[in-house]
Amino acid sequence: MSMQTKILALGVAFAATLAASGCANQPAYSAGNVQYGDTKAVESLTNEIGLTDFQMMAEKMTTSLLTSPLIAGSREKPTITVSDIKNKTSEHIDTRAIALKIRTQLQKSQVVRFMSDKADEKHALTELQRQGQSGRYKASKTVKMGNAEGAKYSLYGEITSIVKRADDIKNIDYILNLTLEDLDSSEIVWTEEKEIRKTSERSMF
Amino acid sequence: MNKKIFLKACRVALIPILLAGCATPPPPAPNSAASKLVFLSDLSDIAQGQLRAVNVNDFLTVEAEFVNTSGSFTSLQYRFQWLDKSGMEAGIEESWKVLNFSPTQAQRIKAIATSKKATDFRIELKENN
Repeated sequence: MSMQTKILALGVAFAATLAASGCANQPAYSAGNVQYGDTKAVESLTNEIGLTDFQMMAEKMTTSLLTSPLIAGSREKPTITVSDIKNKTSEHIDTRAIALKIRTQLQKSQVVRFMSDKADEKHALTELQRQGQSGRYKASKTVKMGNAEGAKYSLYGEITSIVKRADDIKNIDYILNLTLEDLDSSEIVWTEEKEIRKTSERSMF
Repeated sequence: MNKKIFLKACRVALIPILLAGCATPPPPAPNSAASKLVFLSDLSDIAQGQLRAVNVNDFLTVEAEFVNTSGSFTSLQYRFQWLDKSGMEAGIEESWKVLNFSPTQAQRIKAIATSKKATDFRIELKENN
């Protein structure tokens, strides 16, 4: 065996040892290295949509609506129901989570009233049925059908994304667009959009 | 003799400490623009510009300007804290946001309190890493 071959063999063995030790030291995600993090911190683990994006979207939408003429000009608190936010991206996004985040923030501002949406109504109808049909409750103390108040405004929208790749760089633009429609007149009384750009570079390792 | 040397050493050691105490800048005046900023890390390249606070629909609205004094790209993270009359946090805790600067660029940020109880604010700033 020549000197060069020996060096090459040693090099290969060293690299193999390194690779094997690297694999052996891969930490298991549930192996006790658990820490509580700050959910308000900027999270940029991957370029997919995350809690930070949801928070930024909700904050923008809430503050925009609170300073809109609809809120300023209302003598009574406007009644709103949350309709669908369509997911037009290629990712799985729980758009109801975005809608609920916005609803929570607006509700806490105490300047609008929210009426139940489709999902809430399912729970309400089940409960009404239980109260009315179980025979357990006094008729005078059960909630009656036909007293619910319909919302004057419907909040709906869509989230879209534009994905671009060049060499090792991936760029995703998210656009959330929300609309508030007067259900009586079908007038669009408020719209707002929030754009978020996330750029990531493919890691060499 | 030993006592004398010890006292002298103490005096020598105390002088820099006292001088350092004198060199510490005084705290910003209450309600001044500087008193509204909370720096959580060193942001020596960032200078504070104008700060405005008004009420819009009874919601406290703040616009603040920051300037990148360096000749390179930089970024920071910020968030607003809203406080009520008694200094307690009002409204929802905001998330941290990233603000990117081109060289020597001035950027404005605007935020609105989501509670009518908010009468005061702080802007927390830290480096973006």
